Order: sequence, then structure tokens, then C-alpha cells
Amino acid sequence: MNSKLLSSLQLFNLISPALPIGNFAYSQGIEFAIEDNWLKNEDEIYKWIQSVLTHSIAYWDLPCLRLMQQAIINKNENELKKINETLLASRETKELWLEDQQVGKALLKLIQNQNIQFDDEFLNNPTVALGFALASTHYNMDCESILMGYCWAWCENQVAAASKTLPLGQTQMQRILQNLMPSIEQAIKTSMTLDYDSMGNSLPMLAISSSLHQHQYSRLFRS
Amino acid sequence: MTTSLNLDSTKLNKHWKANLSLTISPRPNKSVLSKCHHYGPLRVQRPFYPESDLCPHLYILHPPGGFVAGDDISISVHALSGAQCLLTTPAAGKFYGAKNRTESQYQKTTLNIDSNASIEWLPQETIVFDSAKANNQCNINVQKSSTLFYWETFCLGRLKSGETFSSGFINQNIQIYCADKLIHIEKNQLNALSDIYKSPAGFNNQPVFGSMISFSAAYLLKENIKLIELLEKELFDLSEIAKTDEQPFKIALTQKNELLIARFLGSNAAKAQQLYKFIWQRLRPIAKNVPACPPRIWNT
Repeated sequence: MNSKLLSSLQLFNLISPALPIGNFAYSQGIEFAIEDNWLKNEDEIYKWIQSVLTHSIAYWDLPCLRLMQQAIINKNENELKKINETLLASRETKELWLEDQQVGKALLKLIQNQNIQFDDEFLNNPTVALGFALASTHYNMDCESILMGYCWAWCENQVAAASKTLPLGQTQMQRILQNLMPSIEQAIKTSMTLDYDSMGNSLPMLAISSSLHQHQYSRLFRS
Repeated sequence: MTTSLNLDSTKLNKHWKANLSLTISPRPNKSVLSKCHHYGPLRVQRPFYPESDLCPHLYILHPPGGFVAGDDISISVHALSGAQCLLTTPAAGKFYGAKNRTESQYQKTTLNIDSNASIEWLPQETIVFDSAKANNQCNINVQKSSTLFYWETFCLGRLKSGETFSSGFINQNIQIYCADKLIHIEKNQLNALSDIYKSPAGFNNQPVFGSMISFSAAYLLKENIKLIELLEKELFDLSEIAKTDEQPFKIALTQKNELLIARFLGSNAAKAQQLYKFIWQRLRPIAKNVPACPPRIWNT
């Protein structure tokens, strides 16, 4: 099979909401932000997701993923472990930290079944971005494609979580996703320019929302 | 106690360079300040023992009162195995404005806590003046049996005189290693011009933020997890009540294994410090098996 086609198909599969890794079970603070009336309509939901993408994902998750992909290509196992450990240690709350490990572990087991090789030690403290980095190098995806895939999967999951909580209709969900596309492009561009010193942003309201979510009276999403 | 002092050191550079390096050592039924090196305008007062001989209270003094452009301040504290100490400051820290200056201001804190040792780092808030170029870095190394209490509050702009933080930046980086494994990192670049400040997921236009972090293996015990969950719920209810407060704020606590992290966001630094003290009073008996003993200087 044409390797470029194969690579694209593998990317579609990796970011498909049907991929059985359980990320749909988490809302990353957006459920509480809606429940507590911080976000009341389509526009506010869009602004929340857009700002997390622009200030946090672009400055942290994406450059970490890029550096992990680079470390795998360079066969630099120590660097790969270090970035993965740093990414996991940066998860602000119990909920975000558990999500990255649980979803990451499911993803790693899934790609292990596709004969993607990695150190078994990673199964003890995985991150989702690590699974993306491993799959991307195995299937020859270029850096921008895997960053784009990571952003898209994240955005789609956030919009889906918001739609179940608020609720939002299909048309509104589609409009939010369309509006997010330019920000995805910008996030990838930003992330490509960062070195370790200029990386990093944690969002206080997001971290507080994710902490308070744990004590929300009734929840759709896991804590 | 050995003391070294180099009076000329600060003149070598056109800027104020200062550092303070403290070692706390165990003695039978006591902890003592066994080493104290300083360079430049940083001092530590003679230790007080207001609770027991086991835990000296140390006040860190920085006579200039704040950091100007080019300042490079570094403080490191090492609690040797079995030793304890509590550190605080008599006044708010300040990153002064650095308009038209190219140099940044650096503050670096290093806390090394050996096995069965404890450090409580409980300073007053830090005020970041408009146009400051603040870099605040903190590295903490603990062992599985160490105890840590740490808090930091940043206040963007001199709120009492109506100053807002409209230019400059604050870079903040805190890292905690447990037995050489990175267990927590928070790395922020907050530029005054960035809309992260206005963002509802970011700072939501609130100028006072910070966190209180505690590490103890005792937080993993089943009976203590229940107590911690109760405290989390209490803070949840406080955040709920605070919505109608004259100065609304948010406070939330989360647990990552042996680490507890409480985050504050609001508009009143005194409120943040008050809430950290409240949490500290609840957690200290769990982590250290002794009640909280507020340093006397907090009352003045």
C-alpha cells in the first residue's frame, strides 16, 4: 500500500472517537465550568476551548509531543523518558493526572498490539502524547500531521463533553469546531517555535475547575 | 554555627547579587541552624523556638525590601535527615517595576529535604509591580519520608494604589523531585500583554494567584485520605460561598499521591494567605503529628 496513504489512514484511526481508549469519559474541567455557570452558551464554550488550546496545549502538550517524536527518531530513550515524566508531572490535578495515565495506558496497549515497540516501563506512567509520538514515528507521520491530529482529537472531545453537559445541538457543535480550526493552525505554528525555556503554561481557572469537579454533586464525566 | 560574610561582594557587580544558604542539622531532641552562608543583602535572624526544640522558626530578611532590574537572589535551605525548620518572611516580597531596563529580576529558591526531615516554607505574598520582569524559580527535592509545606502568593500590580499589571512579565517555575523523580512541575510565562490574563480558563481578570503545596507519605494512609476529602469538600463549599463575597475568590484542593496542591485565584492577597494558613492548620497534624504553631511575626 502507498505509504503516504497508509500513514494518513493510521492518523485517522488514531484520532477517531471510536478508538477504544476511553478519552470520552473525561471532560477536563469543562463539565464543572458549565455546571457552575462559568460557561452558559455556545460562544462561551468556544472561548474556553480556544483559550486552553492557545495558551496551554500550544505551549505545553504540543511541544512535548514534538520533542518526544524527535527523541524517538533520534533513538534517545533517556530524553523520551524525561519528557514523558515531565508531561505527566505537569498535570495540575488528580483528575487530569489520572486521565493521562489511564487513557495513555489504553493507547499504549492498543499500539503494542500493532507491533509498535517500546520499553514496557512506559506502561507504568504513560501519557497520551507518548502514545501519539510512538504511533507517529512507526507510521511515518510528519510532525505537523501528528500535532494537528492531537489538537483535533482534543478539540472534538472537549466539544463532545460540552455538548452533553450544556447541552449543545449538532449545528452548534459543528460551528465551534469550524471556528477552532484557525486556532489549531496557530497553535501548531506557535508550538514549532518553542524551546524548553519558552514552553509551558498552566491555566489557573482550568486547574481549579478540574479540582472542584471531583466534588460536583452529580457528574457525567469521570473524576 | 559558622558564618561567612563578604561585605564587598555586592559591589563587584553593578547589580545586587545575593544569596543565602542554610543547613539545618539534627541534634538529640533538637534541630539547629548549623550552617549559614550569606552573600549580599540577605540575612536570617537567630532561630526562634516557639513550639519545641525540634522545629526552629527562621525569619529571612532582605533589607532592600524588593528586587530591582538585574537583581539575582538565591536562597537554599537543606534540612539534613531528621531535622526540621519553618521559614517565613517579615514583609511582602516585591518585584519592582523595571521600565526601560533590559535586565530581568531573578529569585531562585532551593529546598532540599532529606529523609525524615521537614521544611515549611511559608513566606508573605509577593507583589509584582507593573513593568516588572520577574523570574521566580523554585526547586524542591524530597525523599519518600520527607515533609514539605510550601506556599506562594503573587499579586499582580499594587492593588491598593490602583496599579494594574499592564506591561512586563512574570515567569514562574516550580519543580518537585521525589528521590530524583520529577513528581510535580508548574511552568508559567505570564506576559502582561497576553490575553491569558483575561481568559476565563486562565486568570479570569483576577490579579492574585498562587498555590499551597504539601508533601507527606501520611497523605496516602486510608484514614487520612478521608480527612483530606473532607477538607476538599470544605474548600469546595467556601468557593461556593465566596461567589457573593465583596471580593470573590476560588480555592480548590487536589491530591496527586503524596502531594496536596491547593490553588487560589482572587483579588485579595491577605485572603489567599489566610486560606493557606487554614489548610496548613488542618494538614500539619496529619503530616507532622503536631498542631500548627503560627510564627509570632505573623501577628505583628
